[in-house]
Amino acid sequence: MITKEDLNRIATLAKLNIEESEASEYIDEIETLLMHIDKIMIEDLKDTCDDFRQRDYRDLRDDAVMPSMSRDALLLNADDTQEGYVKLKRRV
Amino acid sequence: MILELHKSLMNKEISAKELTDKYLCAIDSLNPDLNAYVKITRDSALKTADIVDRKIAGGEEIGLLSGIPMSLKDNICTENIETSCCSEILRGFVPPYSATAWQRLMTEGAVMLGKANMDEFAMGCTGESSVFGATRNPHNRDFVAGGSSSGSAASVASKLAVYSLGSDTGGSVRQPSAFCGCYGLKPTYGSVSRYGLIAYASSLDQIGILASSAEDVSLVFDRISGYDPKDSTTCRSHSLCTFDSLNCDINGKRVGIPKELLDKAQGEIKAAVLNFAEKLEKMGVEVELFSMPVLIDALPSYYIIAFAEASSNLGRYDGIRYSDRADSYESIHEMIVKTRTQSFGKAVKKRIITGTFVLSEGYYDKFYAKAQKVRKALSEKFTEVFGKYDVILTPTTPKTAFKLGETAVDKEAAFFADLCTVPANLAGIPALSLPCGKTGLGLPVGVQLLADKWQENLILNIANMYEKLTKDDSIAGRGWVL
Repeated sequence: MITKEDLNRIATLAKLNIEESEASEYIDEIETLLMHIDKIMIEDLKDTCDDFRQRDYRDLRDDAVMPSMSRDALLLNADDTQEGYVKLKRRV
Repeated sequence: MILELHKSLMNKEISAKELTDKYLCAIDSLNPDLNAYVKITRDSALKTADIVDRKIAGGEEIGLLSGIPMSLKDNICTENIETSCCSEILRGFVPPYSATAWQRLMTEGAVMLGKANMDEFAMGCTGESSVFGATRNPHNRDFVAGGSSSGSAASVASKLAVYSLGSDTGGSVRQPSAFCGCYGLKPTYGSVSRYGLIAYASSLDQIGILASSAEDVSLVFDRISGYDPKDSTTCRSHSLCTFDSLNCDINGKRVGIPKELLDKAQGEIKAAVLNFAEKLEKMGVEVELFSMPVLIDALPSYYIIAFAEASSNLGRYDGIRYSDRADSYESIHEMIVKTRTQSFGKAVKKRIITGTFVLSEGYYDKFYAKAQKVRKALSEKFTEVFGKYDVILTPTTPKTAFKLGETAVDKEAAFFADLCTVPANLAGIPALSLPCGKTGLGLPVGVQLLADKWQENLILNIANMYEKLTKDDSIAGRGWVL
């Protein structure tokens, strides 16, 4: 059973604000999903390891410096910039 | 269709500009009602068409996809063209680079007509969570086009694009393809670069292709697939060419139908699968039912893994480097929380919250680790099953397209919508949805073919041979705009 305190803790971790009026909707959603996963019999999986990998990742590129995008291109979508930095409201 | 159009272009029966114009006119006429496109890239489409025409006039060889009009799901980055994932938080975001898959098509002279509508951040199965409004089903405007590649499927099915690139994390190419009556391929994980695909769940996402024939899917797949140094999850050792084997004899191929998924399908869909199987048997294919109970456990496991990965991937949206920021705040933390809260839709926030929960202390082993064990067990079972069968046949979806607004009320229907599609994503295997008739209400039905990793050629071969046998001209999207 997930409480509103659990939800608020999770929302803090997720950097979201959940209104009091929405809390039960979110809790219902999570509990419905967890109910389905609970139905999976653990005995079926006791011999299964949880190390799932799509493939063996030995195929990596050389550890070498490669060209990246320009600072201007990367800052193009920032709300506010100054001298190559992303600018936020002063809080100090 | 692609080969026919290519021939017409080369024979100068029509110019690339004329062809593009016709599609743009059709979009102007139909899109206000369908809402398949969220952005129409008229100028760049005509510019590309002009370049293709100059090459043809100069006697240059052009690629098969050159001058062919297409659409691109709005979570695939296009340099200098807004890419919003149909979310408020990325409204106005202009990528400084293009996705590799799109780059490969651009190099060949593909004409992008516009960005296709989708569920916000590819999270949904109806297309209704888009900040730009829902896409409607071309077969019946009271019904959804499916999701999350709603606009991609609707654009192909209504002849507003010859083909489209979508993305498939749990069925988001295949399910809307089934709902709209076109073909949709989710390739093997690692066959198509995810560089430039805005992430939902990185171990599940794949760019997929929607088109109106197996041949068209094959032509596009062969061009966008292959190793990409910018995506370390792409594979160097497998390069795929599916076109050459489209017409191979399928006599003697072995197809298995898992009864667990067949039993969950509505009557007309079940009948369509069995009818499809019958037609395969006429071509000398051996078909039989078999049991694979772990398929039913795949769905909740998929949700746990997908939401967990999404909660991590969407952590980057904080209003600092991109996206509109909240106007008033007292601290950076407050700015981030306000921005995310006001700019993410509810469906996205629910997934982030659920994903954060299953990864949190005290719950990780109970839910996330368990889901990964199911994933491992499923993959091992598929390996075993593909030792006995060449291909697995299932319904693509348990039900046909929902009515607009239906899943807001019938949450169970929404929960089980991806029952048949998620196993392929969890195991990383290729899967193709192909149209297989319509219901009494006129809604399309899709069947799904799955094969072992790197066996796209097999499922496209079977689909192509079935298409040749049935010669179904009613398949959505057939026949170019005149």
